[in-house]
Amino acid sequence: MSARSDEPLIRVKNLNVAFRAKAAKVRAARDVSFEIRKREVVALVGESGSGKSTIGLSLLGLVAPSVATVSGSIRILRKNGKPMEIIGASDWQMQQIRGNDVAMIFQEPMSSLNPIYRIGEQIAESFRVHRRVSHNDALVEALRLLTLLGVPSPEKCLQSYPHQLSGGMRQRALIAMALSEQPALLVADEPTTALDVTIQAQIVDLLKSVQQETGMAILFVTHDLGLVGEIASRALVMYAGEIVEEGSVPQILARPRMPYTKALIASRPHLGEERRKLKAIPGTVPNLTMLPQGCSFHPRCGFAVQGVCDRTAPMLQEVAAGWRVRCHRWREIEEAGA
Amino acid sequence: MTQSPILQVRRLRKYYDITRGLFSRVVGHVHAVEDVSFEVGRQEVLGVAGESGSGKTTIGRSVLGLVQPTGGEIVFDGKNVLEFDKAAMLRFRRSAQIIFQDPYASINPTMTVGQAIAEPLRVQKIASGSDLADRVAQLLADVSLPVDFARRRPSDLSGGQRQRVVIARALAVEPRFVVADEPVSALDVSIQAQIINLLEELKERRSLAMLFISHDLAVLEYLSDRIAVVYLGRLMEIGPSRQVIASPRHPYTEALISAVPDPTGTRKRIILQGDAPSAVAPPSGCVFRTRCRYALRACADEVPTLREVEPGHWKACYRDDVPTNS
Amino acid sequence: MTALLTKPQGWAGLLIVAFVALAVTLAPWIAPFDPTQSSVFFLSPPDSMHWIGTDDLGRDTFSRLLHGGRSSLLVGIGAAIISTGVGVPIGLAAGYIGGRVDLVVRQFIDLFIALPGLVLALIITAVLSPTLLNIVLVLGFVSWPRVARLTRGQALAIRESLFVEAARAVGAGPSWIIYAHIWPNVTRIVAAQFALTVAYSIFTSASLSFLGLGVPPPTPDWGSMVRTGFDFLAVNPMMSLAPCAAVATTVFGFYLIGSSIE
Repeated sequence: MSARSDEPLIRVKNLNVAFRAKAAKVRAARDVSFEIRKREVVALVGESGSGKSTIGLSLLGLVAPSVATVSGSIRILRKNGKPMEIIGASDWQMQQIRGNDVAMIFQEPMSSLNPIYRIGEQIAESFRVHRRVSHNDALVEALRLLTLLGVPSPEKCLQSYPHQLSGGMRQRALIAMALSEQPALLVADEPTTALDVTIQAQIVDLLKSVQQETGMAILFVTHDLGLVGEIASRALVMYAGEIVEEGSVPQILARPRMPYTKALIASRPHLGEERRKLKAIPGTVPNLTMLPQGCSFHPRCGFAVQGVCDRTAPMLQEVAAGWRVRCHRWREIEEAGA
Repeated sequence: MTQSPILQVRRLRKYYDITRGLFSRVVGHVHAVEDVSFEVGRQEVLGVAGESGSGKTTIGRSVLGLVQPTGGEIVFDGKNVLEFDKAAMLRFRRSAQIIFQDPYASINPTMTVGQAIAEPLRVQKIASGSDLADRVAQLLADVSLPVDFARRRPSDLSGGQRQRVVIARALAVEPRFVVADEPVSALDVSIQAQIINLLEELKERRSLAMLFISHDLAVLEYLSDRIAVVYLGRLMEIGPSRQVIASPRHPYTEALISAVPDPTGTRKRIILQGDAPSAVAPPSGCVFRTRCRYALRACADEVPTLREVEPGHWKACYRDDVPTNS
Repeated sequence: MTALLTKPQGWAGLLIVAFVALAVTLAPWIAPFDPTQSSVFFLSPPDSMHWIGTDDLGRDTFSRLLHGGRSSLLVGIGAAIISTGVGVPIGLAAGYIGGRVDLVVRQFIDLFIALPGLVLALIITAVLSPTLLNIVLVLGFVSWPRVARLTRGQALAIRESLFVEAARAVGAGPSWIIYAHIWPNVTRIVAAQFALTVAYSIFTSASLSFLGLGVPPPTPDWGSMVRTGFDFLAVNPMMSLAPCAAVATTVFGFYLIGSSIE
């Protein structure tokens, strides 16, 4: 079956991930559905406990069946044109697509690197997993990639051990490894959170230019709404394991419809803006084992209405084409001009 | 009528020794803080902006005597902190306190919240017995925590709640000056605002002076009256916060501001090349010159001193014509 | 410490130790015979009169067992008290003060731990006169380095922690920091190590007695009982087996306590 050119690269349908903890089940992802198209940069936004990292890991089949129950469908359109179901795929099948079709970079570069091997070795190793190349050829290729990624003195970098490099350099080395097979999708899980802001700008810039050149799609997982505005065209806002708002980035950042998104924006000071009182979101992120009845955000929501928001859980409703929000009252709130 | 500043830091220096070998030979120094001078007014919030390796945390700790400076003077309320004997140091710790970044590690996990808050009161012999319990209850209320939290352990509390406990501890001795070292960086975004508001409120109510250390420029602009920008242990720029952000006078500040993610896409984008140089062998002359887009040959010769470019606004840079288009 | 009571091994250990302790403490009252009293019924097997039989001099093994336990327990607990009393302060000082004090203490500790305890005890008891007090001292001396090392490690770790720096920031001095922060985090380890030291000391003192370097006769002592019984294993195995089992059980009981606290 040949794929249509507008087929989404990734189609997630009703993804449920429940971690089996001692006391209760932790429902990290609840009925999550979304698509990622080719060449698209989608941001997955949320705080800790929102489930965003779990989604990223699920896309690579990295949620072990021994610790969690995963159900639903994650369908990936492979480079060879054939679709493949990730949930329930065998280890061998997953090994074929990891690195090749989908790659991932993590927040803490140090934990993805082996401290006793030089960087050059590790990058070369990642090539040789998928291709039959000699060790030397792999090193040459590694050098080429690092140069492409704008690493200063790439030869020295190849010769260094991970602890000798700065955070920014390590992250570039990991990006080199992730991109070596030109995957169609890069999942970046908070790749800049541990980095200084000027280095973060470098890495974001790098990712943007790589994305332009290779036409790779990126799923950028972050908690920073500013970063979302910088890099992504579409955003999925997550709260307590669910997608609560989904739409184009300019729309969501300018006039979000979901109270949580609104509150998130209002609770951060923004550089250079008019002096205003910060509106803190009261309460704390809900415990995923003990979710409130009805809308999971209602205990902290300034617009919550008793009898409605605490009773039934809202479904995703369409605001406009490609824009959906999980709120009972979004229309009223919008009309009230809040 | 301006009062004298509560804190004066003059030419603060802190070097850490690098030792090697069996006999710990000193082979070099990490220049963590180099020739930093500033003042904090009696009810002022001075923000210290910088990235990792800038020395901002070392500055905060040195000011409180938690780290022994290698050189320079720290004058608190007119008295030289580095010459304090034990008794004077104890008194100093009643006037100057610190809020640490990590709410998880700064409270002893085997203590209860009540014991943790009571500790400064007991160490300073401010209260005991039932008076102690009353004060702890009052402090918990001040930080908007329920009184029965006193019996709980830190592990039962969330990050935001723990940070409130840390703040309550710092305020227990009723200090006049508080160093806040990245107090919200370890917290979730939706909780940060709660703590920022709390700090603002407490600052007003208790007329506190603060040294607010952070890498987050937006938070600094929001809370501080003035901002000091540090890079590789040196002060690059200092001035009123709104002014420093709106029209930065130092190339590093310009780069720092432009690096903050800007969803509107209006801010000019400057990407600094490479990484910060090593603090063991800092570049000669201006330490920022290796990454500065306006660097001249002369920048390598001598370290630029801080000069006033506008009233109250100082910068350490030879060039007057930069940054451009700010 | 609550783990002691919640874990089943804690309960088991407590029961065993309590039972043994009670038995040997009440020895003078519950022992049916005088442990040093010889009789004509030598090497007799267990019967209604002599529950575990008699030894080569006709002495009642059961009574000897009960009385013999007294010196074993005494030695064990005495040694543990000494090793804790010496090791904990030294460990705390070394860990907290650091610097040269720590350097010196560390060398000592490493030296002692490198030498096998039994060998050390052997050498020392061979030189000193084998009184009960001396044995307690020797075993305490042999065990304190382990306690010191554990305490030192804990003190070191806690000294570097942020909450200790926070305590210093409010004006706390070393005595407060040790009292309020280091000690509460150390008690568990100290208690566990205490129990384990008792176990180790009982075992070692029995071994010493077995080798002839322990408490001299006629005082009944488990180790020497095993030794004497050795020659008569074929004829009257209970002479050796009973004290062996006693040592094993007591040591095991203390071990259970120690490991459940940890």
